[in-house]
Amino acid sequence: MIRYLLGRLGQAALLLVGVSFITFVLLYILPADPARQLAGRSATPETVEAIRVQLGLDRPFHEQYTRYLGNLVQGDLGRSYAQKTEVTEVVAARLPPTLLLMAGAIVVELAIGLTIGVLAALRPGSRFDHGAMILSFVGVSTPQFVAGILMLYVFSVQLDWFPVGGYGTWRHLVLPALTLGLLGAGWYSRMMRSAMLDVMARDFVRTARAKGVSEWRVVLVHAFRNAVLPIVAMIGIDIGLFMSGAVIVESVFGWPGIGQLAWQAIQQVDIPIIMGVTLVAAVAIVLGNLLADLVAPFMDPRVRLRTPTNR
Amino acid sequence: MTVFRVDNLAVSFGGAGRRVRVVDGVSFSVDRGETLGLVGESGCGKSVTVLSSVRLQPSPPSHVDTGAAWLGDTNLMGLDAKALRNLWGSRIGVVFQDPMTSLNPVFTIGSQLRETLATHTRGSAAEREERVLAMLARVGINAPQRRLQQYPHELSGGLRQRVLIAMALMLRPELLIADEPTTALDVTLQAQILTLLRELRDEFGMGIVFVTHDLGVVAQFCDRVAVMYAGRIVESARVGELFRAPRHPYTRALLASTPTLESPKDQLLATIEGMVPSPGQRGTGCSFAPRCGQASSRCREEAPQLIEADGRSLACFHPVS
Repeated sequence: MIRYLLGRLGQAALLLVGVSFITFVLLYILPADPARQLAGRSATPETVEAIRVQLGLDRPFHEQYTRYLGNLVQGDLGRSYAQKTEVTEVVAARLPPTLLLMAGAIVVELAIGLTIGVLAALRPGSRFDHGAMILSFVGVSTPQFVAGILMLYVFSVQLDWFPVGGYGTWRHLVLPALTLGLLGAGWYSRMMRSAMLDVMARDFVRTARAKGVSEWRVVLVHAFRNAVLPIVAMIGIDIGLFMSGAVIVESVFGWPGIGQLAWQAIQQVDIPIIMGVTLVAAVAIVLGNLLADLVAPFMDPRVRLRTPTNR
Repeated sequence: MTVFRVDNLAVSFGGAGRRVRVVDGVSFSVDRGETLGLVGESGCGKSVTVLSSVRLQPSPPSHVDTGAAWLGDTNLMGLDAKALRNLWGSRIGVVFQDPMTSLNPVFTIGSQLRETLATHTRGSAAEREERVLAMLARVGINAPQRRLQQYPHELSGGLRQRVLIAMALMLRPELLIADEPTTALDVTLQAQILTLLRELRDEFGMGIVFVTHDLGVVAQFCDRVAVMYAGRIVESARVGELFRAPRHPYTRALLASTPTLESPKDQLLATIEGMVPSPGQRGTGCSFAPRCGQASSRCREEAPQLIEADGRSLACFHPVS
């Protein structure tokens, strides 16, 4: 177990270096100039040049990157160009709302996705099944900015059930979490439906029936516990999807999280913040996958953890 | 004393309009402490017959068209789902063919065994634990305490089949349905499982309906045997009589196609010419007529009824003497 974790963490460290390098290269070759952006429109070329030297942007690429990496190892992500504060502080302040939003989205996708999937599988070919599968198709295909704006219009503007945006109470969370979780709910209802149909035809389900076990127990205990296994693994991967989704959803709903921060930083070419957010997202994806792998043996006794290197 | 009696069971598959008769007018009965073998080749309807008779064949797609199945004074065909669940696992035990896939992979052996007790009986957790351990020991599982914590994948096929037998017999059912319980096991294990089932049958006094395609197993294990062909019983008799003097041409051909230790090594096995008609293509006559050497024009037009005489039954116009 310890060896497994060390192996996985070593992999994660390498991955983070790779992510930081690629992001750095992309930002370097970007035509936008952070110094000019900071100096403002009316600044003289001398001022812009002075800012560039001050930020170290006049140095060659390899020098800039090694300096960044050196600081990163010491836990220093630099200072925001625009806000003049430590990146770590800015990111740390924005992390809790995003985590809350993700937790809400996971609840949404599991609650809606699994319920619809199981119900549809119980009566394949029924009207409910057809309706649910059309709905899930809509859920999977609707872009998040469209879904978000529609929900805002219907539930906030017309019905006035939820606030139009912002952060603070559970009522603020409902619409953003629904929007972010909609895609997953659509996916999971389809996955769960086919997994349940598959499992309900297995021999052990017949054995359970032959014991006289009640039908709801056959479905919700014997079949469900097996059908849900692939979905548990998917939730870890979802965290990565949520990171990109958060940029859109947080912007639509004015949710003060990492996604909104990323959006603002990109507009201002605030390189340290962009780097910081990217690394946080990468860490989240790594942790999400690791968590899914660690949970798997508890869900499925046949799964054993194996260090990827000694396979 | 008859434990279980099936009268004129007919089962079909498919929706309205495209319905295909798979089991056609099957009757049999089994006494206390007796084993009835239901034998026939793959696809003859033997599994559908027994599973439908205890209402465990999923419906739809299957449908029981006619017939009754009497467990004591109760006709299973007249029961609702709840009443059936009360019988399954308590008065009717079932052991299925493949022990590798018949246990739920994500639950421990112990929890799956306790579930049978929890479903049908009241009692404390400690009492259940005790009964489960006693039953595991009874079916010949060593270190039962340790097995309870284990998952199915940690057990061999033979052990899993013993666990499934323990599960089916936990509440001492009066009827055991065994649907090819030894087919997936190697010969040594097969013999062990058959010995165990025979002991438990004598100890509990239950009747067993034993589905198999293996005539060797029938000879070893069964008291009476019913031979099925294309959804019907064509002959039934005590095992000794059937093997000594088969009267239906199909039974005789089936026995002839079984190798024995005495068969010469260089001699090809006897085969039955032609193919089993698929359920949709059975005509009005005897289903075996197209493959039968004795068949007359009457056989092709009229299906012979199963007629009982001298303690054995036969459905043939031209029996082999």
